[in-house]
Amino acid sequence: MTLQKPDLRILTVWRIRLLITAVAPSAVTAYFSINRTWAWWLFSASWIVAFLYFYIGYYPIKYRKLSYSINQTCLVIHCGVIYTRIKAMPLCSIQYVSVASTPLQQLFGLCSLVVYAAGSILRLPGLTLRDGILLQGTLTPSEEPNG
Amino acid sequence: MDRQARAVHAHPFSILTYLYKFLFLLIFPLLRGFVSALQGGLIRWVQGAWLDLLMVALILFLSYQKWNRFRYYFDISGLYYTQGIFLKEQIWIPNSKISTLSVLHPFWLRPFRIAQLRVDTVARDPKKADLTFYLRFDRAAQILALRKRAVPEDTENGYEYRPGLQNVIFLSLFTSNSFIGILIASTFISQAGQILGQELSDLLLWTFESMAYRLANDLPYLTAGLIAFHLPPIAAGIALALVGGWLVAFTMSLLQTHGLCTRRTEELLHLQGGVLTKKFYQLRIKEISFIDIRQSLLTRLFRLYSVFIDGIGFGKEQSDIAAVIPFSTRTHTMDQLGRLLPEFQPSPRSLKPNAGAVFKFLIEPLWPCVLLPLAAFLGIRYLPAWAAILQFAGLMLSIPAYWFLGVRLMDFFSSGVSKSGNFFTLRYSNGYYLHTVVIPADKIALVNIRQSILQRGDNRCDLVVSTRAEGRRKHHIRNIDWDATARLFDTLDCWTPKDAGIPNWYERLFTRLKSYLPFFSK
Repeated sequence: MTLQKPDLRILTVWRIRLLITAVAPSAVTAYFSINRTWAWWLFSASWIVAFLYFYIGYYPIKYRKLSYSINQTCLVIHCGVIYTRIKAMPLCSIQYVSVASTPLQQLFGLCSLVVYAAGSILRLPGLTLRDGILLQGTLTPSEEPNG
Repeated sequence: MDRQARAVHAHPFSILTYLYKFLFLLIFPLLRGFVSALQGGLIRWVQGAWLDLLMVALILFLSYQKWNRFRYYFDISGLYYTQGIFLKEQIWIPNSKISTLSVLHPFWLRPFRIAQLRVDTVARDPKKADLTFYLRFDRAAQILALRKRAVPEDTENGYEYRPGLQNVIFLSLFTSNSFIGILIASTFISQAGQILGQELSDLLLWTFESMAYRLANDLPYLTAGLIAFHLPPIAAGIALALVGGWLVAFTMSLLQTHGLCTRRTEELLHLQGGVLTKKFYQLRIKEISFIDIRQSLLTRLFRLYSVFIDGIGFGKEQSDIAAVIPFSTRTHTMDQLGRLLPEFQPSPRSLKPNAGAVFKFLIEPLWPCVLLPLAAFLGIRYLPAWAAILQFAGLMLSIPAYWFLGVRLMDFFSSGVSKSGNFFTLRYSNGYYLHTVVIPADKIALVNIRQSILQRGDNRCDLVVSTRAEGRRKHHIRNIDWDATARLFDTLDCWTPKDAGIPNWYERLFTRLKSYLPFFSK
C-alpha cells in the first residue's frame, strides 16, 4: 500500500472544533470589554494568539505531516508537528480496530481509526467512513470459525 | 455440560476474602448511627440495631453466595469456571491461552494447607490477575501437574539453576528501595498500635525520636569536601528513617527471593522461591515479553549483572519474584542465560548515538548538579540561621543528582539498538538503572520514531518501543540514526513525502521555507 493522506476535510473539522473552543474565551473577553484593564488585554491577546497559532500554523502542519500506510509487517503512521514522528504498529500485535466518529466528523462523513494492541493504542483521524471500514477489515481479518 | 457437572467449589476460606467486596454495605449502619447521633437518641439507635444486624447478615450471606456460585474445573485442555450471584458467567480459558499459572503458599495459610491460585492471560486488566481463588494444597499441586501435561512438547527434565545465597543477597542489596521499606514499617507501626494498643505504637515512635536525637548529638562534625557541619536532629531522623526503611526492604526482598530455583523445560519456565510466601510459577516461553539485564551504576562498576523477565501475569505484585538470575558476574550470567533462555541472547549494538549527542544525554542531570549546590550556597549565605540544615540538605540532594549524571554518562557509552534474527536488543537507561532488553519482534506493540527540530541537522531521532508486557512498558533509546532506525523496524518502504501538500497558500509557504531552511525538507 502506498502512502495515503487522510481526507482534507479533517482540517475543516479541526478548525471548527477550534472555533467552538474559542467561544468561551471570546465570551469572557466580550463580557469584560467595558472595563479594559491590563489583565483583559493580556487574556484577550493570549487566546487570540493561541487561536491564530492553531488555526494557521499547527493544524495545517499537522495535516501536512499526517499520512499512513500498511506494509508487509506493520501499520505505519507519519505524524507530528513539533516532533516528526513515525509510529509503526506490527500487524501481529493488533487486537482489534474501532472506527469512531464525533458528531462533527459525522457531518463531514469522516471518522477516526483507533487501533488497539496489548500495551498500546494508535489513533488515525480524518478517514472517510468507507476508508475507515476498509482499513478496519484489512487490519483485523475475520477468522473462520472452527468446526 | 460435563465440565459444569464436574466443577467444584473453591476452599471455604474464600468466603472470608469475598467479605471485603461487600463491606461497602456497612455504609447503611454508619449512616443510621450518624442520623441517630444527630437526633440525640441512644435508645433510638439501640431500637434500630436489628437493621445493623440484618446488614451484617446480608454481607455474610452475599459472601457465602459468591463462594457458592463460584465453581471451577481444571483439566488437560483448560480451566472452566462459573461465577456471579446476579450476573452469572461461565468462562472457559483454554490451556494454550493461559500465560502464567502461579500457586502461592502464604505462611499464614500454610497451617491450614490452603494455597492461592492465580491465572493470567493476555486479556483483561494488566494490574491484577484474571482469576484468583483459594484451594487445598493437593488440588493446587494437581492443577500444576495437569498444566505440565497440557503442554505435550514439554519434557519432564530440563536445566535447573539454583543461585547461591550470596547472589540472592546481592540482588536484595541492590534492588531494595528505602521508601517501600518506610511504607511497610509505618504500616506495621500503625497496625501494631491498633491491634496491640496505642502504647506500643507510641513506644516505637518515641524510640525512633530518641535515636534520631542521640545520633545528632553523638556524631562529631561531619566533613564533606571543604565543608564541615553538625548533623541537625531532623536530618538525623530522615537519615535514620531511610536506613531503617532500606533494612526493612532488604529483609523483605531477601525473604521473597530466598530459595530461588529456576528450571527450564522445552516449553515452560518453572520458578519457585520465597520464605514467608512460597511461590510456584509456570510461564510459557513464548509468552515472555522480554528479558531485562539490569544494572545500577554500582553494579556496573563491580561488573555484576542480573536478569529479570517480564511476561503476562509475571511480576504483577510487589512480592512476586521477577529475577531469573540474581546478581552475578558477566560470564556466569551469560552462561546461565544461555542455558535457561537460549532464545534471548543480546546481540552487539549496531546503532548507537553519535559523539555529538553527549550533551543530550547529560543536559537533564546537569541542571540539578549545578543548581542544587548553588541553591544551597545561596541559602547558607542569605539564611545563616538555617545553615546546618541547608548544608546537609544540599549535600544529600546533590548525591542522587551526581549519581544520575554518572548513570547518563554510562548510558551514552553503552546505549543503542540491534537486531539478531527475530529478536531486538535495546540498550538504554531509565532513572538510575541501565537496561539491556531483548525483545522478540512479535512482542512489540508500537514503534515510535521521533525527531525534534534540533535533531534534524544530523538526521538523528529518539526511539520509543512499547511492548506487550504486564502493563504498558516503554523503552526509550536516545539520538540514533533516523534512516537506519526506520530501516531496522521495517517502516521505510512507503515514505514518499512529495504528495503530502495542501492545495492552497500553505503549500507555497512550505516550499519557500524549504528553500531557506533545509531541515523543513523532511
